[in-house]
Amino acid sequence: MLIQNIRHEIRLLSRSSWFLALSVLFTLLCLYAGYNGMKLFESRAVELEKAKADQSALFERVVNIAEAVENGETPDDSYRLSPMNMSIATGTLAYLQTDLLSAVAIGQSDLYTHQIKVSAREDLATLTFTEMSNPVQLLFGNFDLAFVLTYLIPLIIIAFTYNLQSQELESGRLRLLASNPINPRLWLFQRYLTRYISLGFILSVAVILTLSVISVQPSYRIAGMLLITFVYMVFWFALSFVINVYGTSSAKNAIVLLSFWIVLVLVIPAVVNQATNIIHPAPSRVILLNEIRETKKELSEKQDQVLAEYLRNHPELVRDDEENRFAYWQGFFASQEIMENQLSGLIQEFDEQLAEQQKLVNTWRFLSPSILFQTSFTDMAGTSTRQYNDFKSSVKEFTQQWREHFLPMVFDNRMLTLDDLNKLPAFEYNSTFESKTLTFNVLALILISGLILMSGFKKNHINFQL
Amino acid sequence: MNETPQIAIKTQNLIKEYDGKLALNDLNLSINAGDIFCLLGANGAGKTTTINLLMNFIKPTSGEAFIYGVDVVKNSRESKKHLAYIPENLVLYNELSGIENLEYFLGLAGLKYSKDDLEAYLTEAGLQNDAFGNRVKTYSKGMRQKIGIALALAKNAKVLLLDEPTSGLDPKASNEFSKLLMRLKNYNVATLMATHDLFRAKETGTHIGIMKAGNLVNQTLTEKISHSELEELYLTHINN
Repeated sequence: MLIQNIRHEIRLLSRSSWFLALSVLFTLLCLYAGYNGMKLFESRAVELEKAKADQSALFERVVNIAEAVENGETPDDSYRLSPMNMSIATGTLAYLQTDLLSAVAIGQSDLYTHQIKVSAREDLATLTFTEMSNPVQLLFGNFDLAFVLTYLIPLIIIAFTYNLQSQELESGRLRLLASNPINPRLWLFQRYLTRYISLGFILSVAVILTLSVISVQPSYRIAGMLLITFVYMVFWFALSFVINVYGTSSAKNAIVLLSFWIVLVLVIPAVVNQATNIIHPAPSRVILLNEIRETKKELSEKQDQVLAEYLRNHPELVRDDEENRFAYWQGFFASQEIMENQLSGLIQEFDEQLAEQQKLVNTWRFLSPSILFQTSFTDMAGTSTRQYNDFKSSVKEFTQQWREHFLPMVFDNRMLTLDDLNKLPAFEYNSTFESKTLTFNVLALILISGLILMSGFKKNHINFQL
Repeated sequence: MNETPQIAIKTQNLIKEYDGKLALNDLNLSINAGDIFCLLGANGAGKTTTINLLMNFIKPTSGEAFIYGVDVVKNSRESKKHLAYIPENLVLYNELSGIENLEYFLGLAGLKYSKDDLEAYLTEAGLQNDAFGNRVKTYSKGMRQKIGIALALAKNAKVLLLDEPTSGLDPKASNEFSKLLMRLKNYNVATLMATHDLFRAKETGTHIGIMKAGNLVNQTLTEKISHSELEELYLTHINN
């Protein structure tokens, strides 16, 4: 019966102008989504290259000054060789390498910055990683492939399957079909299977076409993204199967399936988001900034006391040289560390609450297949919140390292040499993030879909009357 | 020596209630191979309910029904192996041709025929050759009913259940349909036909049963009754 049903469905689909139009439309949507993602990726790449070039030019200028000084010249801008100037004004660039897969799933990449100027003046707690974004775009999300797959694929599946049994019942054909020695449940399942394969084929063609247009090379990450997409589709097919088994009229089936779509794709993710803010409210950033300002003010008022206290804790920085009296910058560096120590509780609370929120989202992701899908999809694309958090920690760690590197020179009150410039720490991002969600989310979706299908097969009686 | 005819369709004290309302009351029916049993009755008399029960589309409240001794409830799929069903409106897949529809429905019954065989069955069912490859959406009702007959022929059905199959057919198409039933009778097919058409029942049937409010109130051999007597008998039962 399976072969028979596959042939039959393919015949029906190939003669359905509606289905053919839908396939073309879906392919066009994928291509447009890919183009959109690519545009964002390209503008990111241009921005990054520009930032790298600017930083490189800035550094080159300092190197030229250092060379001139070594040649015995006294250039006007030799102040640029001071450790304060180098560590703060020249600084260095920390960046996240552009990844073409971010064009497939923009994820958080439009919210977080990919390059940040590292400066010894920055307070670690207030390092800003978010960019000015179009609020309307943030509200509705970007029209990328992830959007098409998360939001539109379920709708296409619903449109494609909501009446697979009910239409047969309404037309009276179900009786004719059931007058044969078949298991009607298995017959329906096989129809779903064929449609799943058909839609999967169209999706594969559309996605592969899109990926090749935007020049994404095949990789295990692409395979992972396709895997979670196919499993996500299984869920929606399974849901439609059960609704058809238990439902009666096509209109009711459509309404029930659309209600599920609204709840699972729109409502639950929004509720989970709101709930995490209510259960683990993040401390106000304004309070954090005010605390920092207050503390800075207090510390600057007692600069000498702060410096003395700092040097007690860092005897290695104490200098006997009367000529090199410690002034503003030494006090600044000293107060920065003291301030961070004083505010560490508040900063930690801030970070912990954010971590708790993330943990809660992870726990509650099972409430919605679209959260399960999106988490894994953006994880594989490298644009999930957790990946950007990993980048953030790496930058913060490096900023600390950058500041510490200059401390002895600041306290020595000496200018940088060419040799010093060659030994500057360079930011290198080695992702410690490991996507463990794929296997787990795939299995969770398979399990949920399996249970849904089983409940469909459990119903023995078939309604032959509306 | 005459062979005892095989009982093709049998019901024993078959009862169907919907929410306490009796739709079929204690039906005992026995139809032999080669018989054409015409069930007459007003709307809601229980004719379609009887067919639905024999098809196992609905479960009986009590009683049993058998197709060649196979319990239609306990062994539904087995009972359908040699059974064909033609409803009042045979709805096929409009986007497929007559021959493709026939091929698909036979495939569901586990039967596979060559294109020539399928065409031969359609010809035998009276469908004109030039319509074989046309999409069913262009077919008239009579043409679609012929696909049902072709299905019964190709399925080698031993039992045919018809639910008002000639309703809405023009006299010529109705007459052709009757001839096809007679041909199936010659193949020893047992037919149970629910109909409102007294004339067709008398012309085609071997037995006539009159149903009223879920009860089989009268059973008679067609050969023993004339057209006018049948009409009178029918009206008497319906008016009482």
